[in-house]
Amino acid sequence: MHIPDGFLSPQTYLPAYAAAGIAWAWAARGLQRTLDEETVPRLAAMTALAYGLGLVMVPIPGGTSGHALGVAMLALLFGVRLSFLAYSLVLLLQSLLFGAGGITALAVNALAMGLAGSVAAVLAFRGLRRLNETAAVAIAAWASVVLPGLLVALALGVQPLIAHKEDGTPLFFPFGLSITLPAVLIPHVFIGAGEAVLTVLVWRFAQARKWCAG
Amino acid sequence: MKRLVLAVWLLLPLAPALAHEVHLAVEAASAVSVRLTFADGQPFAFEAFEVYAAGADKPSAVSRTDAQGRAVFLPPATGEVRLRAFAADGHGVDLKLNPPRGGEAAVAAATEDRALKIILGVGILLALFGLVQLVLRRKKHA
Repeated sequence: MHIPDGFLSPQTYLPAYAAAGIAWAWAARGLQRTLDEETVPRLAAMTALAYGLGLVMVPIPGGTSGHALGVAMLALLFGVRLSFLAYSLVLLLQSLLFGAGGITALAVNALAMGLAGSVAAVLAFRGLRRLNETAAVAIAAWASVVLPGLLVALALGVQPLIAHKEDGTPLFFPFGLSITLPAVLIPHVFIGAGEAVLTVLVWRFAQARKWCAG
Repeated sequence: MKRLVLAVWLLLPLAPALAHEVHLAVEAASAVSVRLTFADGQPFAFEAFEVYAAGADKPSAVSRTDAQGRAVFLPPATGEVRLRAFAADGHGVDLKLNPPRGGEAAVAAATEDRALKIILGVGILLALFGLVQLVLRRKKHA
């Protein structure tokens, strides 16, 4: 799901950097209040796990590969703000060390996976936890993969519309929405199921150690 | 004269057919093969790629990778080429490379020590969070 360099037009990534800058500032505002000596080691461990999970590629039928995100467990354990900041750091490292996701596309990747993924997870969990907590965690994790997938597909699919030559030849990513939406979303429906299983396991581990804020 | 005009009139419809012929010339040439794979080693197979000579606006080659994920193309005589490869799901590359030309030894792909980079990344994360922890402790005991 990591968008590489050269796939997004400046008309996309420059406004995305502006929006991400505001979001990063918002997320960092309450940092001193939310971080304490107990939270930091847990956050470090979960961030490292998310970093590792994002690098484990799993073959998906159809000739492509996918990976878990790990953003749901960050969001459910630490909230949207810390999750967004921690996941942005994960994306930066993955980009710099592995070329997984571009620096120009970092803001779009962070907004889609870090922010929208965290918000989707927290909202789904809050909405469903009264019915069944385990199911709520699983659906939250699934949503944290599928919503970013939708946003990434939209960001890629609009490129031929907003950045093209006079003759209509796309300057950046060449496939339109009719291709990107199924190509990104269908695999991520299945990746989301794997993410759900992983997140439930981590959630139970964290609950047993009373990490969950409730 | 009438026969000549009739003959020309009868042959004229054949002219466009001749113009649509595609001629074939088999030539020996040194191509470059760039192998693209996902991080798990799975080939980036049957995906679209474009090759641009340095500074060119239009691609010199537009094709698809083969079953092994190889992008095979004829490079310009000198200079770098820009290789763009796309999958519909957003995977791909957009990179510049200086491919080996005829007679030159092939440039082996840099063997990335993936495990080392994973450890390095985890190390950076733990160091950053360790720093945050240190600052928090100092503030608490200040």
